[in-house]
Amino acid sequence: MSQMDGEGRPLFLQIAERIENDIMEEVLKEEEQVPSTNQFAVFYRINPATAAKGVNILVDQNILYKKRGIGMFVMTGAREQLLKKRKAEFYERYVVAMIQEAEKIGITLDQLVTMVAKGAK
Amino acid sequence: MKGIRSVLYMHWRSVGSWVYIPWLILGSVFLINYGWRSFHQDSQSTNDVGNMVIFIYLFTVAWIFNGQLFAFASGLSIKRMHFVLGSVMAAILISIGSSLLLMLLIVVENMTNGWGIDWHTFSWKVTQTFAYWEQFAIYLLVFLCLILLGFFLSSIVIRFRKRGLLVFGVLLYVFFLVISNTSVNGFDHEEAFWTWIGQHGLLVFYSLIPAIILLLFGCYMLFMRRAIIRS
Amino acid sequence: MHVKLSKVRKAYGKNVVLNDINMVLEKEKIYGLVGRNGAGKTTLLKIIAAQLFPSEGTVQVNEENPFENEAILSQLCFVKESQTYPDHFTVKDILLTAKATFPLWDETFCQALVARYNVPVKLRMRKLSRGMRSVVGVIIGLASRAPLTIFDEPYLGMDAVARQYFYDQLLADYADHPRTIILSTHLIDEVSELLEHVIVVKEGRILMQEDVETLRAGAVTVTGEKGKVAAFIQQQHVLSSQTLGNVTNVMIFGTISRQERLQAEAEGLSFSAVSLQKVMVHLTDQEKGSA
Repeated sequence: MSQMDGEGRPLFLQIAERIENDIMEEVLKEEEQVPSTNQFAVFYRINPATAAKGVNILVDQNILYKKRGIGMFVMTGAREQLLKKRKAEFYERYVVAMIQEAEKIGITLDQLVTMVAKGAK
Repeated sequence: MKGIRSVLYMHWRSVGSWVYIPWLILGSVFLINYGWRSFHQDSQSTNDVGNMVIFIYLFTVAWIFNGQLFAFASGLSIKRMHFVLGSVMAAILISIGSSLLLMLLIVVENMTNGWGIDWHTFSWKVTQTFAYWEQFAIYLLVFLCLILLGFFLSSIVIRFRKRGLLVFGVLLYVFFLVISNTSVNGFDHEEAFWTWIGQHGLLVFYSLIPAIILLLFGCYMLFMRRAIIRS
Repeated sequence: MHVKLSKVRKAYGKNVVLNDINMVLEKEKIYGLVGRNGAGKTTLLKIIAAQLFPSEGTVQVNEENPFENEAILSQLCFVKESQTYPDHFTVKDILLTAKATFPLWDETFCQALVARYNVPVKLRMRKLSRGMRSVVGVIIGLASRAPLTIFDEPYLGMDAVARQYFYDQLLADYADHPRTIILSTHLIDEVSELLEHVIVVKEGRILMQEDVETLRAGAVTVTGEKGKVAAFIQQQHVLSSQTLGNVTNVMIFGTISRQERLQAEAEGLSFSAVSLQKVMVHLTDQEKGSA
């Protein structure tokens, strides 16, 4: 029934991530109005308070901004900012973990670089 | 006050059981009887109590409806007192309507000299000589009394369950037993009662009904005030 | 509307149904009331709706006693599984009476729901199937727009599609017309994402009142080597534990920092999320007195 994953991560984080994805894929363009909290809630079938929490995370990070009485908009430069953030996350989540795992099973750094180059082809 | 309106509306949606069905029954009883009597005419003037059907029917409907409608009204969060007042107002309206209809039939019955066969089925023998407005008032009070009796008995069941009804029955039986059987200091209650009626006339006797109505209304209100639905 | 219960107790003779119930429901939130059959959920809700009287303690709705209080009762809609209807009433009679009763009733919404659920409005209520009877209750609860709306296991006999439609409508309508909603249910997984708060009742007492997000984040299963798991869970609230050979699987509820988790993972323990349903089952299923 649920549209959310079952990872047990707080729902509001999942919501925030979905909006981020939409911005990076330019489904939501900069300076464009985003759906209201209620629309998000109904669409994802979650409590509006939870949806609001997710949206507010992005407001706090200056990804979205509120126009009084009109709604929520994507900040100029939001995509840039998100890409930067995701790149940093990528390093932590994948690169560091890969290197750790490589060390554990005895892959040298050179071998690793070769493997990455090969995988990229 | 919206609650009272809702309860009146509920009774209005039940108009079939309050009006159509009982009068349909009374009508068919009348027609069958009329047909039978037309063939077996004897010169005797008859007065049966054909209209008793409708009194008993409304009493039963009142008893059944009180429980069912209260459960529903309570489900719609209608205040208990609003339910009581709405129901009593409905009872008054139904009594007025039923008495008017009955009077209409009595007038026709008298004008046609007992439907052409000297058959008096809609009026009571004891009240036949009364003025129309007196008869109307008596029927109205009797209807109201019986409907309220139905409400009242139902409220005993709602408030005290079936055991309450049993207790009430026993109390009533004991009361009448005492009234009719004791003669304290040579004073016989029953005889005194009938003597009293003889002296004051039936009209006075019927005027006692409002006292009973008020008593029933009071007890009904009291029992419904803390009524709960057990389910 | 907000609700406050203080030291509420309900007993029938020696049979104590509710004991020491203290709770506060804030306005315009969706609450889930969870507990096994016989835990006292319906009694609790009936007391809030002034359909039952507490033996002890006080009930306040918007700071007032709801008993025979028109200002409160007219704002309250209580849809319960055990609701009975007059035998001679058709569905239409019932909906019209509800329309005449609730001040904020939305007839357009009601008609849309009737059409969507294919409710046979001309039939007598008692001729309806169990599921269809539930649908009528759900329609009344939704269309009443009552500032305090209580659904007590409202979906009996409704299939999964009908239930989902109910949840969707509830959410959409709540978003447009916020109100306090209490949803008593044992199908917690179906509704957990609609809820803001969960109240768990067990044997007549409130076992837990928690933000759903907190619950969701706090419940986790730890799996790993027996000794290591035992060491890790020392400070945690354990809901259940299973051992197979040298491997233990423990469900815990608490807060584990990212640091703790990473460290534990490095030691070979693994973590997985637990559904709210599982948490509820374990919370309410424990032997008497061991909770």
